[in-house]
Amino acid sequence: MAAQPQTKRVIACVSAGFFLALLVALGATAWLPEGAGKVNNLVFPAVAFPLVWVGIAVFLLGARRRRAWAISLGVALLAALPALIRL
Amino acid sequence: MTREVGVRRALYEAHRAVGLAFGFLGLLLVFSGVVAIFVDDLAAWAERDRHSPPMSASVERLDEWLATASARVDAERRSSVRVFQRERDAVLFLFSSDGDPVFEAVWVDPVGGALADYRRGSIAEIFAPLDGQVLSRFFVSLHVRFLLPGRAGSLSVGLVGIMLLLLVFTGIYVHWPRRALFRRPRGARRQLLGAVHTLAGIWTLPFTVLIIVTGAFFSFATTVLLPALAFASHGGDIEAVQRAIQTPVEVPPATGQASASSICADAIERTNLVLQQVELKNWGEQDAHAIVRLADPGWDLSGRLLAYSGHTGEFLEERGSIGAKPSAGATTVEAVRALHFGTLAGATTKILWAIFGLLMCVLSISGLWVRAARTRTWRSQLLVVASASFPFASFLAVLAWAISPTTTAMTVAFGAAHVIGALAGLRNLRLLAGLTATTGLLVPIAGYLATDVSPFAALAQSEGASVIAVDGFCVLLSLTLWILIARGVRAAPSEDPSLAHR
Repeated sequence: MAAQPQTKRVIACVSAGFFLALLVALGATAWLPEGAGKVNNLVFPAVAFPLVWVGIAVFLLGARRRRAWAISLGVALLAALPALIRL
Repeated sequence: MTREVGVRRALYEAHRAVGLAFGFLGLLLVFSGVVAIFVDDLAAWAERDRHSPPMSASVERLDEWLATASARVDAERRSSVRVFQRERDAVLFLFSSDGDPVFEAVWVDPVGGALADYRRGSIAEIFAPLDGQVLSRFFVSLHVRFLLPGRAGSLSVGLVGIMLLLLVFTGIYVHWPRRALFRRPRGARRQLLGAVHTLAGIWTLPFTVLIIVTGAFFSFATTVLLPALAFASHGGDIEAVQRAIQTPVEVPPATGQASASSICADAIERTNLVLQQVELKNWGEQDAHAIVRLADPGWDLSGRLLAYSGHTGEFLEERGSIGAKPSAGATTVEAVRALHFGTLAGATTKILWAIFGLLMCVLSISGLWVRAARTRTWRSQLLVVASASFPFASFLAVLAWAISPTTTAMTVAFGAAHVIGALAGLRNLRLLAGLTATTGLLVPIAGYLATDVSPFAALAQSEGASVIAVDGFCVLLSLTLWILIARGVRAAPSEDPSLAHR
């Protein structure tokens, strides 16, 4: 049975949200301070990850424009850039 | 069509699609989570025939217990041991050797000091549940893994959690009420359900976000995120990450052997907290040290880790639960754990969390019901009655445990109860309520027969309050359902004229 257009759209936005949120989290390890225990830059992105994921997904679902996808991708890549350079 | 109307329609369609696909699984997640809040009480209810006093009450005997336990294990594992208590068990001495997957576990009775049990093998083999522990672990496994194995279960639960969060955010945008939030919901049944759904969503919003974000941390952090983040933060050098997080304790050179009992007594005096765990590393060798974990049972964020020299017993430093030193990151992880499990302020937050959790169940069921009222299809009605079958399924799973204490028996009973409950509910919701009320009344009897300890006999022991609370809840819910049935509560959805089959 073929998926409804709305279902496809939700799957696309949620999947994109996951990968973009992962990019942001990976980037945050580079620009967040480590702290005394040297774990702050690992813990905070992991805790914020679900909120960022759903935030991006809702933004993409509501915006219905290609510009929203471009903005999301651009911001995520910008956030991930320091980590990508280090790798 | 204005832009705002377009956004609202897009989010409404997404809310509807996600709700229909994940509403039932979301309810399973929330309902099992409410039960899992009281997992300690459930364990005490199921294991009322065995209990041990806390080890913190007799720390002066720790050296004696350690000698008894060490004599039972292989010599190469004696230098590294963790000492703690789980559930209703005796004091556990878990011996290990670096890089060796085989552990040796010795349980020592804290009353007489005698060896209570011994197991050797992997962690899974050592912590294989006893009959009484099967019950509580079933509901925990249902909540954290949907009873699926390994990472697949954990990731599935995380995905459902994310979808619930998506439902909340889209629902808030679409359904934010224009009238006062304190107004009593009114109207015909469908409008009333819609109003209940909206109000439950608004009032549980902070709790829902909190519980899903903290829960998603457990689902994704260990499975996907932390390995990926550690890889990114140290340029792919995983060993560098481990060195950074697990900085070894620096022990001043010395000879001699400190007393574990004295170290624990000093830690308790220094912090005024309750002893939870002691880890002895390189004990009796060079660089011997002890790490003592203490906490206040009434305030879960009070946990502290103190490091001591294993030679002189001298206090060395305070450490973080993650990382070498106490930090905001380590405190955040502790807060995430305490907030998700409802243990932040002991019983008070547990009860509060359960109330909010039940409101989330109302939110899910009312959403599915509104959908059933709109579409009038048998599939949407099936989702409603299957959702209403969770209490019946849980009660039947407990009865199955009393007959055969295995996860398989409980899983079969839980699944079968959903089928029976859905079939009964589709025909007449009063029938489902009657089944739930009857099985609920049988649960206290099953607990008595399975353990051979009556609730009144259990009252003389420390777990008596838990036994009375679980039995009391089941009886109260059953009596409430019987009263509703007797008063002729209107059955739905099948008997609702607006939902009649086409």
